[in-house]
Amino acid sequence: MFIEQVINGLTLGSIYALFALGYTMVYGILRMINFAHSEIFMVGAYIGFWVLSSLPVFLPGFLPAYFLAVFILAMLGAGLLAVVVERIAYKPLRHASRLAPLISAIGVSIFLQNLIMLTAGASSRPYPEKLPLEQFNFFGAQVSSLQIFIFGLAVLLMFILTLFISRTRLGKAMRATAENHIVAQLMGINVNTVISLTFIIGGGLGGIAGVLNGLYYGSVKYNMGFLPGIKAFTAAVLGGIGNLKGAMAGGFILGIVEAFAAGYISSENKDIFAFVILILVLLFKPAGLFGEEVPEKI
Amino acid sequence: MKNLLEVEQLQVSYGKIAALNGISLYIEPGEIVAMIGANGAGKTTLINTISGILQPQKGSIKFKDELISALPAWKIARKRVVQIPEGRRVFPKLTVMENMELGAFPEKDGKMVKAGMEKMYAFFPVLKERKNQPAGTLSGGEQQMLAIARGLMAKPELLMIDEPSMGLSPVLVEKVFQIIKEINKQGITILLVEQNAKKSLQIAARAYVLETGNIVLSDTAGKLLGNELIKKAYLGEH
Ligand SMILES: Nc1ncnc2c1ncn2[C@@H]1O[C@H](COP(=O)(O)OP(=O)(O)O)[C@@H](O)[C@H]1O
Ligand SMILES: [Mg+2]
Repeated sequence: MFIEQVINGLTLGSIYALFALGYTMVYGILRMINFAHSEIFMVGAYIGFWVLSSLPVFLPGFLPAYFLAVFILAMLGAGLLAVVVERIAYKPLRHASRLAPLISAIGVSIFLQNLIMLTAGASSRPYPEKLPLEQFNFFGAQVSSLQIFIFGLAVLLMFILTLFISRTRLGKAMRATAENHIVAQLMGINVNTVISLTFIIGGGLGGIAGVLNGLYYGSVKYNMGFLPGIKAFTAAVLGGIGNLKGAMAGGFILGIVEAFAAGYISSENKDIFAFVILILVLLFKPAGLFGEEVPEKI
Repeated sequence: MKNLLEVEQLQVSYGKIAALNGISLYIEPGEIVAMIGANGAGKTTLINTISGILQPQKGSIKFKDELISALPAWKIARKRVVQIPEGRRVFPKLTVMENMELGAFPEKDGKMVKAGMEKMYAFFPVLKERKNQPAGTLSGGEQQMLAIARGLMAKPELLMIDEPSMGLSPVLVEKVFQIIKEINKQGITILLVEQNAKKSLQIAARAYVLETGNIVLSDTAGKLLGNELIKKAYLGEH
């Protein structure tokens, strides 16, 4: 039971962590909470759903390439949608009060939910099962091939992201922009490009999280982003919003807490724990676990 | 092209508050030009407008005969019009080395960046010792060195330095002015903005005196050092 919950927690945590990165990256660059990110996740899940249900697997041996295509399309679609949302709904408000883009984001969120509800239907749809499912025994606990896949993909993506942000020229430009837009421009950095890149990456990871969520729970629905969105946002706040490693750690912590709550306390009320954590963090450690600043000497 | 930079009738305001009331100035290639003026005179406003961070209401800025006053800040920086901002403003969470790499952001050739960095380390050995430290943990003087090094990494044609001596000890002030002279000898044109009039006039070829958004005097630095008004108002002599 214990190991089983750890495995469930890591699986959930993988999804929350990938999802949380989008909240934290956008916050880091624009100091804004992108409430529409939960709908980017949902649209990503739908892109995966459409590709999986319309595109046949040509040959059994093509399965890895097939899934690679599914994830790349979901990632690109979600990433591009995130950029378009930024250009239309946030960029014109960049110098307005902080509340304005927040309200705009909520508007985008409602719009995207309704758009998908009207075009794809209001009811839940089953997610195509094209991954061969196998169960393994791991120290007496059951672990499925899907769980291993979700965890492995999430860790791989987080590893690549970490390398990109810490090592590459553009990654450094992103961190510089997060610290100070004006000084970043003085370095010859086009801040608008960096912001777009942030939305592409954050949105793309959110889209992949959406597909993984669809595969794991076996369904998609127009409002599927709402609850996981609050949990991923909680994960970002828990880790210290704006901090990438914090979002990753926060996602896994939240996944494990939820899995244990579901397993040992009550599976019906498992969703409450994210809210409890969110409130506790905001009350007692609003900077989050990793949110401390480097002291600035003058 | 006679002048590297030509500013004409520049008017800049913050909302309704005017900060520059139609000022004109020029900088010839290879010069050190000082812009002296009290706190609030509009010196930072001028530099930020040349850099493209602020948009002028009226007037023009030409760099090498090209109008740059309508360009975004990042494009102006890529024309090698480089600013070392007031109060240093390094990226505190990034390491010393990353700060320097960002100075050379437009340069995509990693080897060139490395070579530039080695040159800076030779110039400022303390930065080499601290290269993996977050810039925010450096002392004020070290941060100023880093800000200068970061600016030089961009291979500037015009380097605008905003109050480099602010908050530094007299020994460090001396050192910073030495460095500025040295940089200039290597062929970089400099616009030096300072409240420390004496030191600036000692190293500059020419200078402008800015008072509440107007240029009230301009002459060779030598003549201004001997000017009675300047002596009274800016050099603390009676
Ligand atoms: N962001 C701002 N908003 C409004 N007024 C400003 C701003 N920055 C500077 N000012 C005003 O513009 C004038 C010139 O300021 P500044 O260029 O910073 O002077 P200096 O650099 O010479 O000390 C001052 O009166 C200052 O109060
Ligand atoms: Mg100033």
